[in-house]
Amino acid sequence: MTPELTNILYIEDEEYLQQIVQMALERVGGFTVHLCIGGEQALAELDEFSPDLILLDVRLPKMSGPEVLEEIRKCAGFETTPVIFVTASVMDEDLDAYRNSGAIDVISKPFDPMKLSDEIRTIWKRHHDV
Amino acid sequence: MSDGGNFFDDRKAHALRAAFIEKLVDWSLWLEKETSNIETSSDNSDAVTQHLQAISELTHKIAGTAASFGFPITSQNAAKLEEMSERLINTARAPNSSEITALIENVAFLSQTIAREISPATA
Repeated sequence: MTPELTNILYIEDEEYLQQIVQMALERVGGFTVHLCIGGEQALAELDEFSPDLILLDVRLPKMSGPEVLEEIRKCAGFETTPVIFVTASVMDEDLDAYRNSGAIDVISKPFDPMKLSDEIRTIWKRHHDV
Repeated sequence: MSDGGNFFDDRKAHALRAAFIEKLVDWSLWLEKETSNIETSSDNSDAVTQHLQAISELTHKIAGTAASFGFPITSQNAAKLEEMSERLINTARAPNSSEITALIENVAFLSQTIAREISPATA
């Protein structure tokens, strides 16, 4: 049975995208969303928020998304927390590399705020049904 | 992608979109200024690369956000400009005059696209 998806951590440095995604996921999807502007903040707040799922921007200042994922995997209790990369890159080789780096899937920016929640639920269900 | 019409009927979402539109106009002006900086510093390849990187970063940001606020053509044209600036960075030489002209034209085209796409939203 697929576990319930409630808490989503979104790691993104672009403030307008942060806000619209939070609105979309909370209002349309009914999720609880916690925002972090980068890897350092996210790693410091992981325990406090205890996300079911992490949405992780690939292109972040200081630590890149893949670097943040590596650090998350070292944190006790978050070794297998599902992570979805989000990226504006359209290069197929980049998308494959992100999928192979331990994320369960990749979502392309820009998002449709009305459809993002469904897209995430579909990925979540597929990940747990396998 | 839908135009997010229903989504932006909400008061908070509408206000966020209005703030984003203002930011988009600022970004458009900034891109024009940064492109003219390339023209004036074309004999300094380090400075040119820095300007191109700044253009690439901002167009990446616009490409990844604008369509979420209902401006899909702006996202598409910003992505094209990002590709163009990345290509110029990766040539490892200062762009020649025709490349700079093409960059200026593409920035102008993106500015026009932004003005055209946001006009119904600001009317």
